[in-house]
Amino acid sequence: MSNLFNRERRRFEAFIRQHRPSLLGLARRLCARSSLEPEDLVQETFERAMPEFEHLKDRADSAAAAWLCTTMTNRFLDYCRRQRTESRGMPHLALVQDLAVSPEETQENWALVSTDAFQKAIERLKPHLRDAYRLHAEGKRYNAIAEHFNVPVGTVGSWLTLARRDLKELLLPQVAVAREQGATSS
Amino acid sequence: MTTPCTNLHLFVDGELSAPDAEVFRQHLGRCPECEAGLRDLLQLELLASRALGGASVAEPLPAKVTPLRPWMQRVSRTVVPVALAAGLAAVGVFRLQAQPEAPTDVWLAGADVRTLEARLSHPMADRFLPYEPMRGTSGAANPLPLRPLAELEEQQDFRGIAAAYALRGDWQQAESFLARAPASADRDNDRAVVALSGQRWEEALNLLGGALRQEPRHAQALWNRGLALRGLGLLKQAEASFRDVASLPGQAAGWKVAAEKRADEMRALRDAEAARWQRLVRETWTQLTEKTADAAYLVRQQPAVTRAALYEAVRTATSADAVASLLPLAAALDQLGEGTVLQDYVRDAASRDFKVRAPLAEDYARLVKGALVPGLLERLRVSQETDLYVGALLHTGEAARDAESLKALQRYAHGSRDPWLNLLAERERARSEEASGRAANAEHLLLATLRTCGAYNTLFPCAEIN
Repeated sequence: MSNLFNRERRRFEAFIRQHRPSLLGLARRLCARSSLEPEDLVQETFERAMPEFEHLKDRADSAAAAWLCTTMTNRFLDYCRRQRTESRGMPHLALVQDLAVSPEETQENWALVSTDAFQKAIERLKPHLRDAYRLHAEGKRYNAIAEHFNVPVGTVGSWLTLARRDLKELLLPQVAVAREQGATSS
Repeated sequence: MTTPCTNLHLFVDGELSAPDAEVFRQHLGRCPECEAGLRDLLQLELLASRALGGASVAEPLPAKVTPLRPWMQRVSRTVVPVALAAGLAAVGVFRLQAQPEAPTDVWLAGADVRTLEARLSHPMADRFLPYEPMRGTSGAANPLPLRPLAELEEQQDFRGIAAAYALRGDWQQAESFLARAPASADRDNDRAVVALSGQRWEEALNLLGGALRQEPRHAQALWNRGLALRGLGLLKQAEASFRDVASLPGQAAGWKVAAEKRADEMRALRDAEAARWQRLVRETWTQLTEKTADAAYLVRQQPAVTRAALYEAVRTATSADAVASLLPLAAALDQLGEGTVLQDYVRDAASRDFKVRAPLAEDYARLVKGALVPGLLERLRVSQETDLYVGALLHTGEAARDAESLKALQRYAHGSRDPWLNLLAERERARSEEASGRAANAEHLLLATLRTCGAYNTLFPCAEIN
């Protein structure tokens, strides 16, 4: 029994180690200048993952990451709703929902996108959009990117918005292909 | 002028000022478009960070990962979730250091009533609340949060974990964690609580005895001892144990009042049971002496009361014929058990010299009705009517006060080979021990006597042993 215990524990630890850094990076941005602690948001997300781990552990990394992202987003939106309600002095019980999601309820389009597909897609962006987005993904703030390209800060915001729009357009059609392939192979 | 929706990307990128970010968070809660946009955006950002390994999200993993010992000795339905919780606790250990104390809902801090009658030793699980027995619900209504469980395991607070399970009625888990806790009066107390849950009164009593030897003023152990003794039918001892709890200094006023109330209940219950028993015996005795009894019905419906009434009917009969008329009833009662002790007794009594016995029997009848004729005990002692003397000793409680009387009772009971009389003699011996200040001996004797009584099934009124 202790073997099962240790094996499950190690698998879950590995799962957390794999996904925690990227989730925490997102959480820090969402929680910036708020009373919500990014670590709490991430910790809660992994707590939600525990009862689903039986399903999550055997799924592709992209699917597990998408599930975690959906769950964390739900937790965050839950927090936003609660805060809004409290600031208006309304009872919040009806609005606060426990938004744990089942693996099937995750945003399934994103669950099918692999990191390889992403790397191919970013190479197809216009050079300035690709480079700006790479710098952003490395953690550079808008003003640092603006300085790098010697453009106004507002321009960086526009470039990133365009880069994201293009990435989405490049990636999500692949989902349809991936799904068709899944359908024919099954 | 920008609408909040145009700020979605700036918000996700952490580029809004604090007030603007706050406005946007509030906006998010009521804007389905922004919510959908946020979901997409975050999925993309997460994918980017995974694909490009963004520096912004690089997080040195905690160097200190506390190794967890293998636990859970046997197959259990909770092993996997608890393992995961342990994994989460290990990886997220720096969070745990920031918040070392477990959330109090582990021990149902939000509850406004207590559904567990027994008292656990863990202070968080022993807050005073009004007791309300469970009404068909289970602990599932309060699922155990797993993260704090793993934290408690880290701190080796096995009693805390066991208490959390116990409060939810998961006795098997509680027991397995208590087995891992270091030996202490507290642990014995909690193991006794588990035993109480299964109505294993004697086991609980033994454990509590051990706890109280270590800590004679252990409030929870004294309380639980009251419950165990009550379960065994030893109401007088149960009352004493609750009184001990009430007299302890420095405890919550609620517990003190509750203990007093319990003690009063034990006394009231004991008085009520004794009164009921006496009334039933007297009524049946009256029917037997007035020849209005339906013997077959009595033997079938209330053999214990009828047996007690038969002794009284024989003792109070003033003629050999009157005694002999009780022979069929004695035979019917003998049939329920084994042997012929009651028939032997009736035959022996019928053979007495009623010129001597009748006046004594009349005075004995007055005693049964509650009036002790002065000098009766001494007259009976020096008479040959030993059964009347023994009856009088039992009525007056003299055997518990006087060693010679007790010996006489024991001799007669032994000679009669009547198991019920022997049980009563043992009871009087226990009372005598108690009167001499040897309460532990008394309890030991009573328990042994009760065990013997219980072995006779419903033949004897074991409540009378108390």
